[in-house]
Amino acid sequence: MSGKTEPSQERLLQLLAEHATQLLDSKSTTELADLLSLHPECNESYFEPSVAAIDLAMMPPPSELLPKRLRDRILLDACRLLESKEN
Amino acid sequence: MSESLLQRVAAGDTAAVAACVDTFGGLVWSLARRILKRPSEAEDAVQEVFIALWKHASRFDPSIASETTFVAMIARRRLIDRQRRSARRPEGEPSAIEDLPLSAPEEPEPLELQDEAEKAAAALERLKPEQRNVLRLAVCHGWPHQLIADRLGLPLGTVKTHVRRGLMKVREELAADAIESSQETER
Repeated sequence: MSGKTEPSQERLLQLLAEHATQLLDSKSTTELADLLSLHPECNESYFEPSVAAIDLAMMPPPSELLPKRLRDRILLDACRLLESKEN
Repeated sequence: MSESLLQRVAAGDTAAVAACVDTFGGLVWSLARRILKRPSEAEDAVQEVFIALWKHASRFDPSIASETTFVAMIARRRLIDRQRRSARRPEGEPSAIEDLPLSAPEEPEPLELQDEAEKAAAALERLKPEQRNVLRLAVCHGWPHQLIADRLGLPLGTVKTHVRRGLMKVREELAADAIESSQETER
């Protein structure tokens, strides 16, 4: 989506920005879905990489390491998932 | 060109799974601890994030975002959903309006920035302090727009406009970088 924006595009961008940063109410969710169907070049995740990049840019450095027992649980989950894919 | 960690995970490479946990574990854990205060809830959430990551690793597209940004996207989505489900008070929400900074907020020492985060930081630098502050409260602290408007004494429409314009600036910056990178690859 680029260049001059028409009113529906402007509204779509507004709703996408709100969707990326806060919970939309049901009316806005429906409106967003309707506008997205008019603008297939866009999707719900339009601003998500930007939001993630902003978060990374502003985030203080990690002060804690991943707890070891949690790391073990995560690896166990991964093994189970990979095994179930193989079977 | 060598495969990324996530591409190797998608192909079922178990060594890549462990490397992925070691590379991104600290990042996901930090996000979880910031968004969900209770350690037990953060642990469950981090476990969920990694399950989602294993399931969606094949969707990673290096032409859209770096691995770090992709992981942060997946993690944020899960963590914020969980935060909303538990209707927890947003992290850092002040108990009274006087708790809010009167001037531009102090920004923490950033992570070692790379890829998109550097571009985002550059785009943020070009925003007015008020815009940057609004974006920080919305993105990093998860404050709803109405709360930001109330606490900063700004009209709700202004808050929404700051968020939208800020996100568009960052998006434009990232898109320009992606085009530049793909042109360099073609040369």
